[in-house]
Amino acid sequence: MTLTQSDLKTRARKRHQALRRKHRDPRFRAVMGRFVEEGLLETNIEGIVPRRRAVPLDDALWAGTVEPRIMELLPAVLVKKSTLLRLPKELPEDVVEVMHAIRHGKPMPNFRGVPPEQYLPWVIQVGRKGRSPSVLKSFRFRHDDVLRLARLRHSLPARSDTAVIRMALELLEASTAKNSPIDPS
Amino acid sequence: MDNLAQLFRTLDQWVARENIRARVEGTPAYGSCSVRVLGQSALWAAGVDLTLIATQDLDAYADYEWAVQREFERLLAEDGKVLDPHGHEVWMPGETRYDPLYQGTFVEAFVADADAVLISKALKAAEKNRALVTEYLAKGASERFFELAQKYRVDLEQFV
Repeated sequence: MTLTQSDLKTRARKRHQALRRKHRDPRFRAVMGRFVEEGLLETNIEGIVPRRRAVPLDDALWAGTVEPRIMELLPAVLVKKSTLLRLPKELPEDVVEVMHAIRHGKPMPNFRGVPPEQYLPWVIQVGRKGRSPSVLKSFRFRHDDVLRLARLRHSLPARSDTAVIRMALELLEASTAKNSPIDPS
Repeated sequence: MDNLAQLFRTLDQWVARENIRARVEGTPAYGSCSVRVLGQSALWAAGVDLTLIATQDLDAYADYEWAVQREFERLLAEDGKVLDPHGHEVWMPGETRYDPLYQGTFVEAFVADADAVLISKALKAAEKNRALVTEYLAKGASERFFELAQKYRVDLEQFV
């Protein structure tokens, strides 16, 4: 470190002033207000009024450059609770890309500097909690398998064949679970 | 986050009730547990004079049993919050002080001190917490903060 504590304080003050100006920007206040109303964020910034009206996507993307937590939430909001936003007719390419990846379980791109491990957890927290978008997968079953599925659907009982397969997968995973290292990022 | 102490009180009362039931039924009772709140939630609970913007998640170190954790998660959810499943992996400096937040019969809760939380954020998630650390420096960070920054080689110049 080459700057003294006093120099750091002086420079930090200037930066902080610039940031406070951005916090006063109507776009930032509107986006914060919408996210606070939805319970996605909370803040002690004075004068942020919770609001129910949708905010333009462009404003949300700009506010995300001021507050990284907004950017972190945006992919989940776009997929699970897009009514928070007023979407333009043509979405930016990276927005389309991240929405497509989440909806279809494709490899996730970084979203405006936010890595997937930071934005993905919010997909199950935003909107209908505990739900992530379902992905269409096709499998070829033998006739016996189809009959087994039908029997299980009635005997469990399950709402659908998909529910049977989901339960079976959960059981299989639980019975074969091993401690796997978790990526701490 | 304002009612975090109340939430721990409710959890304590739940454990007490469950333990009475366990005694009646002759089943094992839950042991005492300790929860240490970290991250933004700790700053919030400490009432620091900083601009805070927080998501719904709460990071904590805890030694509770699984059922107690589930009840804790349920109580948090009632408040619109979620326990971060990776919260226990948060790095905190060894010098972190944990100030008492709630002291009950079965549950005790603490909050990490602001200097330690800010050092953790500055070191492990600088980009996300740039505004927070900059504001702290602008308002006159404590001597202890600078000492911790030096010890853990936090480049404070990146925040100005």
